[in-house]
Amino acid sequence: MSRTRKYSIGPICVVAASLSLPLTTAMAGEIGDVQWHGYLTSAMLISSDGTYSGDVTDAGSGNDTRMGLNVSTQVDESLSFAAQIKAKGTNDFNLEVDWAFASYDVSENIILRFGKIKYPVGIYNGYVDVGYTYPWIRPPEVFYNQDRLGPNLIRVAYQGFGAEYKTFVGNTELGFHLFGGAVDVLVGRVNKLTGTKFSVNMEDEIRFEISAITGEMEIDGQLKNAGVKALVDGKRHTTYTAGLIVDLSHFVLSSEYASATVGSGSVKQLDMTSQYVMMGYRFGTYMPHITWEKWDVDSGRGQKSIGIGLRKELTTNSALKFEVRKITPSTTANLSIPPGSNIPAPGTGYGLFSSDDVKDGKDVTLVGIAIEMVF
Amino acid sequence: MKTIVYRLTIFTALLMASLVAYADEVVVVVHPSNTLTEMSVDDVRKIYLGKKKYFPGGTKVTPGDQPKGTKSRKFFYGGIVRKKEAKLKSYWSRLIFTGKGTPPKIIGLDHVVKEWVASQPRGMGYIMRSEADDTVKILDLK
Repeated sequence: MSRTRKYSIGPICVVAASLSLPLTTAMAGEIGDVQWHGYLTSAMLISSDGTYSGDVTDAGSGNDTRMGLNVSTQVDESLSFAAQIKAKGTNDFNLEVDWAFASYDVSENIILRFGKIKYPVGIYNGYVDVGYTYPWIRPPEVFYNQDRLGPNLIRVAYQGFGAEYKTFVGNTELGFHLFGGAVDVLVGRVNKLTGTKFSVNMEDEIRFEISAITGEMEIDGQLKNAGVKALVDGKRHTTYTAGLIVDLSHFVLSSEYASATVGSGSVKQLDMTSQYVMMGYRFGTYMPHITWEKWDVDSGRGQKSIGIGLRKELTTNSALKFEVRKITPSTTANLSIPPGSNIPAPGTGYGLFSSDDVKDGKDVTLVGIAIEMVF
Repeated sequence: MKTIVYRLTIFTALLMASLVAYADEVVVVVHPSNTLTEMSVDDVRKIYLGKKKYFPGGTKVTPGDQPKGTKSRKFFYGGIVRKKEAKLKSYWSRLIFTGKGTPPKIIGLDHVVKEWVASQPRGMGYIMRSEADDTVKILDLK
């Protein structure tokens, strides 16, 4: 089902080896210098009932285990290149290019990017696989989910261009993004993709952003459900988001809201909103946190959840996480489009659960543990 | 409880005061050919967090860093950049894994940083004041 391309590791190793050569010939910090970084998440999630998000069952799932390797180099004074490969349990650990792009510094304030680029939308989207950078084992799925058309933000990278303008007012950083291109999704492709984002960063303690993305859906033959296909294929998909992070010495708050529409006129069954609020407090190396999430589709499908978690810093490069969540799928009227597709079909009333044994309004508990590291 | 809060407040104040005092003993150095004589603490901070890539005046800057655990690094990041190691790691991870930045390269201890800056016209580093000599230029921090 996935359109992710599979790569042989051999050529990548050759490229990696050749890229590493400048390490032996260039002084640190000079043009041509190459930096390598990586991340690893080892995670286990188990559900009390049903199949959640396609893979978490009462038998447990280690599919959230993932790893990535990142390389970057300064080609010349203005041009740099960076790429990241990753392997995930959800993709049978097949090696894939997460993103790869060139950046050109037009000036101190303007950067242009070309290639396969992570969406610059959503607070966590750019580094959503790097669990070390956020409190949860999974960022809120009602917001960050590539397996469904609906939950608003696609976690993969798009192919195209991006332009970023940033400036400072005192120590407050203002950023403005424009980007465009196309992106593959699980059930097809989004063409004529354009987006914009405005962000405010107050010394990394308070960050705020708003964005808008729009594109034209092209649904391929993988989607068998003709009713859903008719609702989506060729239609414009538009998403508006707003996000806030407050990250003080001890107190952390993170919240995002998104509203998505597909098509226009009377076709509203797939219009939806997603929102979450997380609060945490650091006690030394421990950070307990609580998260509330809600996802509403106009057809009635959706879910809400409340979860608590604990993050423990093991070292400055690694963390241990534990989480418990209660998820309540919401009730919906049956709009005669049957479940079973890989997008949120109207008429299926069990949130992100994919099996019939989780019925409307029934609570399901998810428990997870993970170890995260970056290097 | 009030006693504990009072002691914690005093301890924190002393700790901050000591970091600020020691930060004064850490100096920011550039190549002797660099025309700058001073720089704001905010600009130094932005350069070491990858938010600025140019010296004031427009020349590209290559900042050099020290490894974790050195006295200079502790005082520099505690008193000037004002970020703890754990937050610094998280901060750079967000940039690295989106391809939008990499941290300053680790050059070495004070004497290695000094030699590196002396050989890099666009270089910038920090060392203890006692390690500085005329092979590098000390910037006055505003």
